[in-house]
Amino acid sequence: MERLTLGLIKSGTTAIVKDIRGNENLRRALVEQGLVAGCRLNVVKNDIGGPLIISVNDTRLALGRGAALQVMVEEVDSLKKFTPELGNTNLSAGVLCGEVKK
Amino acid sequence: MSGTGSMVIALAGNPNCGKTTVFNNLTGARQHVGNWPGKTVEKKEGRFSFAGREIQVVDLPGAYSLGAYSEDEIIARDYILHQKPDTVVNVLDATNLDRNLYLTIQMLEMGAGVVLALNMYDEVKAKQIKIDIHELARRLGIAVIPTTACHNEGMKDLINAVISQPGNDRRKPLEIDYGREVEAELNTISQFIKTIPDLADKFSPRWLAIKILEGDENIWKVIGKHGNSGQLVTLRDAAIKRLEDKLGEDVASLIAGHRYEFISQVLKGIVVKPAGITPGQSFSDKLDRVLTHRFLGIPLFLLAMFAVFNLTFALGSPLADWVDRFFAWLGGVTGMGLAAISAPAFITSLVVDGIIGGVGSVIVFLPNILLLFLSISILEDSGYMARAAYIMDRFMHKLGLHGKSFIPLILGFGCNVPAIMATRTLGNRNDRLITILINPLMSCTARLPVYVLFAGAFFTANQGVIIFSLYLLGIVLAILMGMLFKKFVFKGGASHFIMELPPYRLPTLRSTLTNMWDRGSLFLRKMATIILAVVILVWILSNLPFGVEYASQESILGRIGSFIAPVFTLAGFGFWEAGIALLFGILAKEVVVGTLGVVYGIEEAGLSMAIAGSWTALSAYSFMTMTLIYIPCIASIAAIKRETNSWKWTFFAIGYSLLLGWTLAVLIFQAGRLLGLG
Repeated sequence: MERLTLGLIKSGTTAIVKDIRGNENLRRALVEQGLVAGCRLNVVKNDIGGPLIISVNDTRLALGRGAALQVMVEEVDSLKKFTPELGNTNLSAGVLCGEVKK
Repeated sequence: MSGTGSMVIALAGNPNCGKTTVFNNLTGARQHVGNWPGKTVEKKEGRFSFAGREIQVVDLPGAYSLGAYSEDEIIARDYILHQKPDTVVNVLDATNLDRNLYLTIQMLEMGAGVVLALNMYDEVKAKQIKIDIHELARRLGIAVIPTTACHNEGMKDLINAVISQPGNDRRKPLEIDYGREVEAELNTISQFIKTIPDLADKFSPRWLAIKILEGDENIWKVIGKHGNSGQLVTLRDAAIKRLEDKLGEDVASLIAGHRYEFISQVLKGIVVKPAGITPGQSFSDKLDRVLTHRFLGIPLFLLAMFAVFNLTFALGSPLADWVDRFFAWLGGVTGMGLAAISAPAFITSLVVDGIIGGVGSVIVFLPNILLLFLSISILEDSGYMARAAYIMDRFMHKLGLHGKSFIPLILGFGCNVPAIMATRTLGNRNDRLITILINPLMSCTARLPVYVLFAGAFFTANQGVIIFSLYLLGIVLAILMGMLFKKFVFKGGASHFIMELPPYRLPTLRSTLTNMWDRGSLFLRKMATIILAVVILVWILSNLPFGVEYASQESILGRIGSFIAPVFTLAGFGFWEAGIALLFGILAKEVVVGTLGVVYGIEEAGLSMAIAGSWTALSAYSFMTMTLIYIPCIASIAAIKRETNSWKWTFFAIGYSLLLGWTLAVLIFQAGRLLGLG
């Protein structure tokens, strides 16, 4: 699957975080909000220009465009969006980050 | 913590988890504001008694993590680390444990004694989420209590769990498996730490090792006092290099990933959420689609602001009239009463002209001020404030700031002191400094009395427009100064905007009113202390030297005023009454009105006639502009000093605002005269 920056992902798409670039401060701030490599997120809103709204672990986060451009993700095939094997903690917003990673 | 006697508990939790409500439930009115050890940042404390024990509660700042990303996190961590509270009550949003537990396990790793309050438990039930609380408590090895703080439910169970906690010394820090490679490095570093008895006795060596590997710069302040940090840095650098070569990932992210993995293991099988709503389809998301809309967002925000100001004035003014009438009546009655008991003339003058005239002329604005604070509380509690930050992010980028800086600016409309403190959530120091420096330009409620008095006296027909124009002027200046500061003083790239958007909630009456009262009561306290004191001082100075005509130019007050006055000749108010009002206004902006009240010896209603004798419409406007901009009040100056921790920036804030205020007042007056408005 192709790696894209989160800034390019359309609204309504589910994606998995592959890599976070940028400086240490950015990474630390994203980690605090549950955004780590392997974590599953959903793009709730992505207009042209301006910040995005994403859903991570059922929390809505506002993410500036600059920050979003540093997050590399892979889109999840829409058919496989909510496969049961991904665990049972939270089927709607994807599962916990650590679990996907393994 | 068995036995009796007093104990200290700290409240910790993410922002938006209801921690403040728990604090209010526990302590009620027994709260006070102090300072954090070693820092002069505001700290909320309270007390209560339970089963014969005196329990002290410390409200830690809301934080997502205990790293060193923001000032709030450092404060929370340092308190747990150094003050070692008997128990930390960790308040969690129970609908979102995966995320809230990230803070919890960091406290457990430190070896803190934690009791979990699974808050918002009513929402858990409403959303049909199933949580096996007993199993969660067993897996984490700590007490877990469901609570619904906004309905005051579960508080007794929570306190019972707290007082039956084991003592501090018998707790073992939580150990998470960070994987073979990381564990090997952690082992090396913690072995080294164990050779430094000072450190190993006080803190968990493993925890220190984790922090060191995470690249937490703040941890060196903890270690530094004990020496040997040079060798530790060498150890760390080698370890990080080995790990990054081997695992190809940055170590801090790796450690965070393992923590999240640990949480998911803990929660496995314990939390069952119904498949229910897809992201983007919840009520909040639907509302967001309108309220944060690209084109509709800003007009809707302006509409909300317009509603706030309308509420403040339309509803507040009739109430203010009542208060005004009350003080006019009180002044009359007191005057007569004092005459009846044939009190000396100077006592009558002190009470009627000084205290009732001075304080009364300011306290009239209490209804407006409470309503504005009420509106701000509703904006915050409903979750809309975070959306305002989101909407304005695009715009704030043009100033080189981002959306998060917008919240302290809005709070500045209420009072600049908490607004300046609210900049603590900004991670980047330059962002913080700019936001602090431009904050006093946001017109706070204390300046409102001045506008209402002058606009009422000189612009009766379009009073509202005039007042609104001053607010707008403040905003425009804040923007321009922000751009200037970014361009010439705080160069460097923009930092990133990352912020939680809490779900929309209907604010409960109780929490909104509590919130309003917390802030409004500060105004009342200010009345009873600084403003009362200044008003008496002004009265005394108007009566000295002995035998002088009350509040005449020959009094000490008049002489000081006359000394300053020439500075403002160009601005159109070069007379001593204005000079003295501005001078004392630095102590608190309301005092501008209070001083005029004493000087003219009348409270608000008669005051507008009195000032019409000295000012014109044009000089009234330039005077209001000056009041808006010149020198932040003493409390704001103190807040700037505390939060910037620098005299340089404090004096900079004073200097630039004085210069800017004077220049604009002069420009407005002179331009107005050229246009024939004078």
